[in-house]
Amino acid sequence: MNAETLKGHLELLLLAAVQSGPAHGYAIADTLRSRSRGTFDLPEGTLYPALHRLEHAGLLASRWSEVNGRRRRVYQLTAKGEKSLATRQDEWRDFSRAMQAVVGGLA
Amino acid sequence: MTPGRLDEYLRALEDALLGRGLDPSRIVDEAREHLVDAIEEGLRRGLTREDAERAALERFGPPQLLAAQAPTPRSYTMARLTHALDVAIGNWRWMTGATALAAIVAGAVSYAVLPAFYRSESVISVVSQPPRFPPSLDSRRDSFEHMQSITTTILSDARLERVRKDFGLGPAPEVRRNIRILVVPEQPATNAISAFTVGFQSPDPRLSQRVTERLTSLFIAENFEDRAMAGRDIGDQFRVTKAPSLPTDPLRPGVAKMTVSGAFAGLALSLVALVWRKEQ
Repeated sequence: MNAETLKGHLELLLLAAVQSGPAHGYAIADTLRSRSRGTFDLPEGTLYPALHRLEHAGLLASRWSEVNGRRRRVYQLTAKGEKSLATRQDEWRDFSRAMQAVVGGLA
Repeated sequence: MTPGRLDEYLRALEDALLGRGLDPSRIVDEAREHLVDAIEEGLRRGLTREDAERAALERFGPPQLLAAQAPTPRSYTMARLTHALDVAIGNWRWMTGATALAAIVAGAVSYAVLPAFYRSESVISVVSQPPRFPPSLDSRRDSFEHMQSITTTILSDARLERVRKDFGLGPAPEVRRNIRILVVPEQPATNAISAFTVGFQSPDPRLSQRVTERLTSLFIAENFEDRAMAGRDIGDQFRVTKAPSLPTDPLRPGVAKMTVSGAFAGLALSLVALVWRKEQ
């Protein structure tokens, strides 16, 4: 998929990727790739600036933690992040339904 | 294996971030962990170390791309402040506890360590001569100004010099800090248009009483001289309505200040500790 198209939705994707629980950057990249069956394949390094921005906005919190004997920065949703994710998910559902109604019929 | 390919990449990333005035430490640490994971995964898939490294670095993207997308220093500073505020609000119970504890400890320690003071006090009434009824605002203001000018005279270095020598007191500014002169509310039952208290505090109760006696007599003498110059029965007359007694209740003027300082220190330290803990 075009990286620019994906970039517009990156924040929603990242918030959704940590919805089920805390995760480190590598696991988040893996989740995006596997759930999209390889369609969302961004340069993985660019996830980190985006994660930091979300943290700075107070939507994510992070801490260093030991995972399998290795030190990793683990990200999780804050209360503010959960609210923001719920709102964005609703917006996305409306948007995708509308897109599907208009564009999907042509396929 | 290409020794140092990963290190080379991380150095380039660090340079790119520093070039934008950003703190590289955290993102470089995260990149290292990510790339080690990716290389290990490549090895598990049967790639050679060199191919695994190349594939991991390609998937990670060029250092300049990451640096270009990293939050700018200004938003970073603002974000740190917002973050600190969020942490404080999210942990208000913990912070309140730490603040209260620090205040109690500082208060208790200063109570035990700082010297107690004793303050003796006299009350001097200002009676207008001839009596003016009802006491007008103007007459109250005049007597207040009169009292102020006498106070200024008595607290001057030259006048205090004598008191300091007689009682073996410290430097003049310190003596002035321990003197307290306060206007007391009007007493409507008498013809006094105002009154004020003269007090001196010292760790020695006897000394505080003796210095207060001296200061009180200085006020009376100064007022007497003023009135003698103006004509005996004209102007405000100072009368001692309460002589200084030997104080028995100790004052601890430093304790409140230390308690408040302790509370602030506790608040600041707990905030720093919380933010630091969150960062780890």
